[in-house]
This record gives sequence, structure tokens and C-alpha cells, in this order.
Amino acid sequence: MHYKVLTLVFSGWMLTAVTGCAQLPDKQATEQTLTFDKPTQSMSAQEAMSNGQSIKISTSQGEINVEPAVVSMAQTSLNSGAATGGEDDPWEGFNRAMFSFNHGAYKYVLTPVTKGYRTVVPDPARQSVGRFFDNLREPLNLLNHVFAGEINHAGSNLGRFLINTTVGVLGLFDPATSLFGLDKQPQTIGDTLAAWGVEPGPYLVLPILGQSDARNGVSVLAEGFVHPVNHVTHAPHNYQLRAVDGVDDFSRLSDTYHTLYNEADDPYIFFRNQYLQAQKRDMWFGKQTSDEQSENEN
Amino acid sequence: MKTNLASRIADTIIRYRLMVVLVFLAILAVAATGIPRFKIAASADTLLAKDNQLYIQSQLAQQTFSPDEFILVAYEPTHHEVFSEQTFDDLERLSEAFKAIERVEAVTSIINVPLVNDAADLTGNTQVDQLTWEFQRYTPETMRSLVSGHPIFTDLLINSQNTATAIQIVFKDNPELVKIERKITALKAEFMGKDLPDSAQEQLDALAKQADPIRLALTEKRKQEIAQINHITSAVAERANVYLGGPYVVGQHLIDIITSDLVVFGIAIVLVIALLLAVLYRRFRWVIFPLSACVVSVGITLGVLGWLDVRATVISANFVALQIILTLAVMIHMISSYRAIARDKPQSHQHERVKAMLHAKLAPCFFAALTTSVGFAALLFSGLAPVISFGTMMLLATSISLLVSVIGFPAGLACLKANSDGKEWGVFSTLLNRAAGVSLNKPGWVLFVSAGLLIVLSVGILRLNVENSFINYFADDTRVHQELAYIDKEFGGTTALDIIIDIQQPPSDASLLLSANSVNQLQLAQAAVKAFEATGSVTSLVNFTELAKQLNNNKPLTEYELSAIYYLLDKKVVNQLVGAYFSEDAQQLRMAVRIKDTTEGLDREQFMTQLRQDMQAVSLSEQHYQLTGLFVLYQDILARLFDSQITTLGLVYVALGLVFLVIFRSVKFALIALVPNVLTTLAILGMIGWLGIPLDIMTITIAAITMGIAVDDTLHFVHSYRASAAQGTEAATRNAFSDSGMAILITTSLIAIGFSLFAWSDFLPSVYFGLLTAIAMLLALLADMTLLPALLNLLPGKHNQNINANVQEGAHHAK
Repeated sequence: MHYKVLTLVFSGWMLTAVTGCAQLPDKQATEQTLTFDKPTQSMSAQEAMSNGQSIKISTSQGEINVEPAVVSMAQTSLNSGAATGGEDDPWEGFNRAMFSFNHGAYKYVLTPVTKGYRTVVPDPARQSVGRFFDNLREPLNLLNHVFAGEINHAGSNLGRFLINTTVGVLGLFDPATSLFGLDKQPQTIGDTLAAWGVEPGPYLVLPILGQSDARNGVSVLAEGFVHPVNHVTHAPHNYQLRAVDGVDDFSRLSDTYHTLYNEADDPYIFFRNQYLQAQKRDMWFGKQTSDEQSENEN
Repeated sequence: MKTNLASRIADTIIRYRLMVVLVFLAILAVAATGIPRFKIAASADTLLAKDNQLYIQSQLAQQTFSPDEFILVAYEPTHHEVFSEQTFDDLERLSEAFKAIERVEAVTSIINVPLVNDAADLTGNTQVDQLTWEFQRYTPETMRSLVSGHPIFTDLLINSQNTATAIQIVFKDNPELVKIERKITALKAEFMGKDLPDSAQEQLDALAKQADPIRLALTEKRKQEIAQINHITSAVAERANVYLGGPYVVGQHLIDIITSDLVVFGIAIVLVIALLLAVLYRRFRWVIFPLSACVVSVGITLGVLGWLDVRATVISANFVALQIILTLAVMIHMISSYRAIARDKPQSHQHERVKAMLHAKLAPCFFAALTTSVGFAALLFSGLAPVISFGTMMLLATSISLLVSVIGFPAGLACLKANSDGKEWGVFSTLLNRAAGVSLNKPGWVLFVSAGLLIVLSVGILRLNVENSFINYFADDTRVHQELAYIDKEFGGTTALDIIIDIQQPPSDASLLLSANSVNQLQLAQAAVKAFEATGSVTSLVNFTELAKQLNNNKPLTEYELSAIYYLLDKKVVNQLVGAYFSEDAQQLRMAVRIKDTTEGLDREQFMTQLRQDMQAVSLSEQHYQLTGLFVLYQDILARLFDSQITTLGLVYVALGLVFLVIFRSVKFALIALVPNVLTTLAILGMIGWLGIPLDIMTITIAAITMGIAVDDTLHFVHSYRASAAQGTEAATRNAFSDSGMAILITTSLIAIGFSLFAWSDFLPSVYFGLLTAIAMLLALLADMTLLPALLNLLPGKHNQNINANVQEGAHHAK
């Protein structure tokens, strides 16, 4: 049991690695863009749950409310996606080609390079480098929060930037979190677009950065102009490697990527569907989460 | 039986008396070497027919998911908080000590499980396996927030009120035993529902022989381990209550208490019966003979069973008690007869007395044994392994008791000198005289009252039920009960119930492990199971998805994320983690449930029915899931036993009627003799129903036991009645009462008083068994002293004359 529990929580680590999608879409966006293909009545209870619904069942012990354990969102579609066909992947030809290209790049270039980086640069230094670039990003987060109307978060961004740049020695340390309790509040242009009700659009595989959607593609492009250093210096963990978002250790992440790639019958489908399911899930449940968050803040 | 045959037997016994005694002693000596080989098999498979599908399914499920053997040690601080440095120190020290026990594979508690509740903890370079108290030395407050309400550890390592914590000690399998058991199950599964060919049966027997010594050694080992654990925990006794629990602990306590009951109450009953014999007869030899007869009979039987390697089960273990009752009954009938002869002819030689005794009692004793045997032989047709073995044992035991009492005892008696013998106690004689008078004067009234009483009692059969609460076997105020009940209530129940669900909706993408629909199906089923008050800990794959959801900001995983985690983990690790709950090869999911044995007013049969309905309600149809595990097995065994006891009763009645017919050569007598037996057995079952005592595995044979007792009484009574029927109804009745009645009354008093001693046991099945046996004796006495004579006296004259003629003819033969 000891080992089991260890691995259990280890799986928790994997979990964040796999699910770490940072965007929190606005509730408006959720309401507007998600619909069921079929009316709920015709679905079985477990199908409705797989689409993110809580179900009431009556048993010998009375009525019980059951929440979904795992979702597929199979019968849920984005409004815009519905127009493009069931798979939400009208650009599959391009995407597949890009996916293959990325795979080659990871396998022969990025993985060996990052393994070397990890061997050469010691762990605390790597963390400080990461924090330095995070700090450079704060003004952009601030702007995005302001545009999205999240003034509280924008305040955090400002505070963090001021504290970490001064006390934190140009952002190499993070006293804003450790001393002042101001947690990270990242916000991308994609988040801001979502807050404005811009739909994610079709599935899109970006060069090197991997799986994404049209809205994020725009965001990455724009941020690349505004803040080029960000994407260049960070390990490309965000997109095709969304699975490993938030973890600053690319050599382990590349193992993750290669394992999943080898396990899947059709890796393209595996990575695509993982992205799309998570996207719909995050939009569907984002509403609840953002409600809770605003309650907590009040 | 022809009387001259009886005379010849009597002569032979007397002539070769010394040799007979020596032969019996020799047999005993030889048999005694087999006694150490005699075993009580306590495992569940002894209770099942060889091809019981449910059992084979359980074994298969066990192999597919191979869950761990574990013991829970609960730690309830008396003066400090659960989340405190003191607790953590104690847990650390106890865990270290437990790890030193040889067979222990792992020791898990809240101090060494990794604890995360914030996904942010997991980013960066944190080593997740070091997110434990042992590495991080979390403060008590942090521990509280991390551990309290954890989807996997609640009810396992922490109780839901946060008043106690538990250490789970996981034991290693015995690889050799696992291998043998796999072979056995594979063989059985292969021939499930078919007849086992001889070759397969031989293989099975050979495998069982291999497994046997390993199992025995394991049982012994477990016993030592529990003692070791208790010793280790005594170190913290002054600041915390420590409780041991888990199925193996319950099993061990059961074996311990049954063994100690056997010794303590066995000795006590022997002493009390010896004392009663001494008081009743006031002669040394009448204490020694009955007791020696019991010892010799039981000794030989145990030895023979040992040599034949026939094992007693929890059910048939009662046979010792029953054999003692039957032996005593025969002995007392013989002794009473001898004493009557000694009183009638004080000058007679010892050999004449023995001969006269045999002359009078050989036939009825033989017939009584015969009818009893027939009753038990009917059990052979029950189709249930434990009942069949009980029947076989009783056949053997009855025969041996008969031989010892009617051949060994007279031979021994013939070796002694004639003694003057005292009168029977006046109270008894008066009582019997009164009873005889009443049944002579007002047979109709007696019939009405006693039959009425027995029938009213019988109605209680409708209220009979079977329950099987292991913990409630132990009296409330015992330490064992308190320990087990604490674990049961606070740490998720005791008895295992597994729900094995076939995966019906394969995922749309072959790369996926499971479809979301399948997991949600499990989620629904688990919610339905958890809704029951009686279900304690319920664990399956969805506890893991629940944890994942918590770590993922309360958003459920997608089916791709679930599969990704599964693939990312090392295969061996995956197997350790979810292997007990998900089998990719078998495409099955397992939900492990523990039932709270102490749930107030739990009706297990109803629980099973409702559970099946609820599975239907969450759209799981019968063919897509199996219920297995100890809970289901015992419930099934009990239900079958109950049915078989009731159905074989009918068969026993028919068989008895036929034997009575052969013995009495009269339909009327056969029917009359049947009535008290039928009513007594129904009345005892009814009485159990009225008292609201649930039948369980230990007490379910009570009907058979009652039958054995009642038949004995009836046969002797009717035999005595017919012996003097020629002299008219009154003489016949008075003779029956004074001759057999006295012996029946004495036997009943001895056994009823002796067995009531079980009331002081801490083990409720023993209490019930003792008291119910005592009540059965009294009911049989009542039926045979009131109903039977009344019926005999109400016989129409014509039949009486016919019978008188028969009996006269018999008497003529005797001369």
C-alpha cells in the first residue's frame, strides 16, 4: 500500500502535467459557445455525465446527486465547431503535416538540447532563470487583465512586478509570493480574447509549439511580437507539450511526450482529442470555477 | 429384532466380557493416534459444494485483482489531538516496529503517504514521493488540512470525525500458495457447472494436499503476528486506545474463542454432568460408566475421522456435542433398566442383571440408533457439502456410540460385582406418575394443550431469518467486540463485498484505456452503493478520479487525460496502484466495499435485494456485474443452508415414518410416533423465530439436533408402551412412564442443565447453541411425555387390540 500511495500521488503530479491548461474562460464565453448536440433526455445517465452534467438518480436509499468522474464531452460541441463538422478539425491535412514536423524536431533537436541544458545548468539557477522571464511577462499580464476587466488581478500583476523587480533582484526571486502572498496571475492575449467572447475556433497545430486553436494561434503570434523573449527562452512546453505545462523540466517532459506518442495508435488523434476534450471541459467547468473564485475573493 | 437374538448377543457379551472391554480399549488406543490428525476446517471453501459457481467466481475475481491481505491498527488518542506531534511520533515509532515483523510488506499511515492538495505543489522540481510528513515534517495544522476528507484515505487511514487514525499493515503473499490456489481455481473454473472427471478430481486432491501444510502454517503465523502487534502497541497504551481490525483479525478471534469455549465449557459440562449423575444415582459406577462411554465414543469417532481425513466444518463441529447427548441417552436408558432390575431382584447375580438389561433395552436402543441414523442419512441428500459431511459424521458417530453403549458398557458392567442400587428420586417418580395420570384421564385435554402449544410455537417459523454478523458473535462487553466494532464503525466496515463490473462501452479510440461512459457507469454504481448506511469504505477507480478532480481545480479529467496518466506511469506501478480495481486484460472494474457489520438493524438479505435493484436502477443489468466476496459467499451459504434445512426436514420426516413403519409394523403407531418429532422440530424453529434470534452458520443445524434427541425419546417410550400393551392401556402407560419416562427425564435434566452452561460464554453462537439444545431437550420431553401418551391412549380399541395381539406374539417369542 505504501508504494501504491506513493504512486498514487505521483500520478497526481502526472495529472497536473497532463491537465495543466491555464486559461480560464469567462462565464459569458462558456454560456455562449457550449451546447449539447442532442437533448439530455435522450442520453443515458452516464452519457450525460460524460458530457459534464451532474445526475440525480433514485435508489432504494433515496435520491442521490452524482457528479461526473471523467468526461469526454463527446456530444458537446462549440457553436463555431459545430459548423465545421463533428471533429472540429477542418484543417486536418495541414495539422497532420505540422504534427509530423514537430515530432521530428522534438525527437532530433529539442530533446537532446534540453537534456544538455539540464545537465549543465544547476537546478536553482534554472528556477531563477524561469522566474526572471516570468517577471518580464508581468506588464503583459497586467495589460491583458485590464483589457479583460479583471482589475483585481491587474493590481496583483502590478504589485508583483514592482516587488519582484526591486526586492527580488530583477525578478530572479519571487518575494511577492513568499513574503506578500501575491500569487501569480498570468493572463495571455488568448485569455483576453476569450473574455471578450471570441470563440476558440478550429483546432490548429503550431510549429514547434504544438496543439492549439485559432484563437490561441492569434494570441501566440501577437505575444511573439509584443514579448518575443518569452517563447524563445522557455522550453516549448506549452502546446504540443501541453501535457507538461507548468513543469520546468523538459527532459522529463520529453519522456512524457515520447511515451504518449508511442502508446497511442494514432498519436495525432490522441494529442488532438486530448486538447479538444480538455478545451471543452475547461470551458464547461470554467464557469463553476470562476464563480467559486470570485466568491473566495469576496 | 428377535428376542432370542438379543439373548444370544447378551450371552456372548457376558462370556467374552474381558475380551470385549480389551478390544474397545485397543480400538480406542489405535483411534487415539488419529485424533491429532483431526482438523476443523474454518475456511469458506469447506462450506461450499465443490462446484459452487459463486465461490469459483470469487476466486477468479481474487486472482484478477489480487487485493492485499492487511490488518488495520487504529490509534485513538485519549488526551491529545489526532493531528499533533505526539500522534506523529507514535505513528512513526509503531510503524518502525511493525516493519520489523517478518511477513510485513509495507506499513502505511498518514505520516508516510504523500499528500498534495494543490496542483501548484507539483510544479517545479518537487519530488512528489517526498511530500510526506516523514520528509516535510508538516505542522499538525497542515496535516489536518491535507489529510482530513481525503478521497482515498478517509475511512482507511483517518476516520471521518478526525478522532482517530489508522496504520495499515500489509502482508506479503505466500507465492507458493498463490500458485497452488491458481491451479485449483483454474481446474474448478474449467469444469464449472459440469461433472468433474476423476482425473481432475485427483489433481484437485493432490493440489489440496500440497496447499494444506502451507495454509496451516499461515494460520499459525497470523496468530503470532497478531500477538506481536498487540505487544508493540502496548507501548502507547497510556495515551491512546489501540484497536486491531480487519477480516483476518476477526477470523483469528473466532478460532481463539471457539477453541477456548470448547476447552472451558467442555470441561465445565463434563463436571456438571458428573455431579448430576452422582446426585441422581449416588453410585460411583453410574458416574464413571456414562462419562467413559462418552469419552470412548467421541475418542474413537474423532480418531476414525482423523484417519479418514474427514474434516469438521463450522457446521459439523457440533457433532461432538450431539454424540455426547446420544451416548448419554442410550447409557441412561440402559442404566435405568439395570437399576429397575436390581431393585426388583436384589438377590440376582450381576450377569443375570446385565442379561435382563440387554434383553429389555438392546432392541429399543438399536432401533433408536437406527431411526436417528436414518434422520441424519437424509441430510446426505441435501446437496450441500457441509451438510452432507455433517450427515456422514453423525451416521458414524451414532453407530460408534451404539456399539460402545450396548456392547462395551454391558461387558464392562459384567466385570463388576452386583451392587445394591438405590431408588430413583421421589420427585421424578411423582412427576412421572402425575403425567401418566393426566394423560390417562384427560388424553384429549392433554393433546389439545400440548399440541396447541407446539403449534403456536411453530408459527414462529414464519419469523425466522438468517443473519451473519461476525462482530455480533462476540458479546458486547468483551474487549474483542469493542475493538472490532470500533474499527468497523470508524474505519470503513469489516466484511468484504466486491462488485465486479464488466466494461460494456469500449472507448471510441482504441488508444484510450476506458471510455468516459464506463467510468461514469462505475461512478453511478459507486454512488448507489455508498448511499447505503451499511456500506463502509468503498474503493474503486473513481476514488482516484475524485482525487484527480480535486487536484485539477474541481474539474473532472477527460478520458484522454486518464489514459495519458495510465500510460505515463510505469507498468509495475500501475499494477500496484490500480491493479486491484481495474483489469485491462479481463476488461473488468472492481469496486471493493466493506460492510459495516455493526449497522443497527441491518437485514443482510434485504440489503442484497436492494443492492441488486439499485444496480438495475443505474442501468447495470444482472449479466454485466457480479457480486462476490466474503459477505456474498456467507449470505449465499446461509440462504442455501436455511433452505436445505427446511427442505431436508420434509425428507427426514418421510424417512422416519418409513423406519417407524418397519419397526412398529403398524401405520397407526408409525404416524403417532412421527407426530411428536415433527412438532418438536417445528416448535424449536418457531421458538427461534419468536425469540428473534437470527439463525447463523453455528445454529442452523438445530433442527437436525432436535430431531436426533426427540426420536430417541419417542422410540424408547413407544417401545416400553408396547412391551406392556397386553395388560391394557393403563398398565402400558404406567410402564412406559416408569421405565422409559424415568430415563428420558434424567437424560433431559442432565443435558439441559449441562448445556445451559454455555449461557456464560462470550461467544453468542455458543450461547444460542447451548440454550437452544437445552430447550430442544425440554420440548422433546414435553412432546413425548404428554402428546405421545395422549395419542397412544386415544387410539381406537380395535387397533389397540391388534397391537396388543402383535405385542403378545412378540412377548411369546421372547419366552
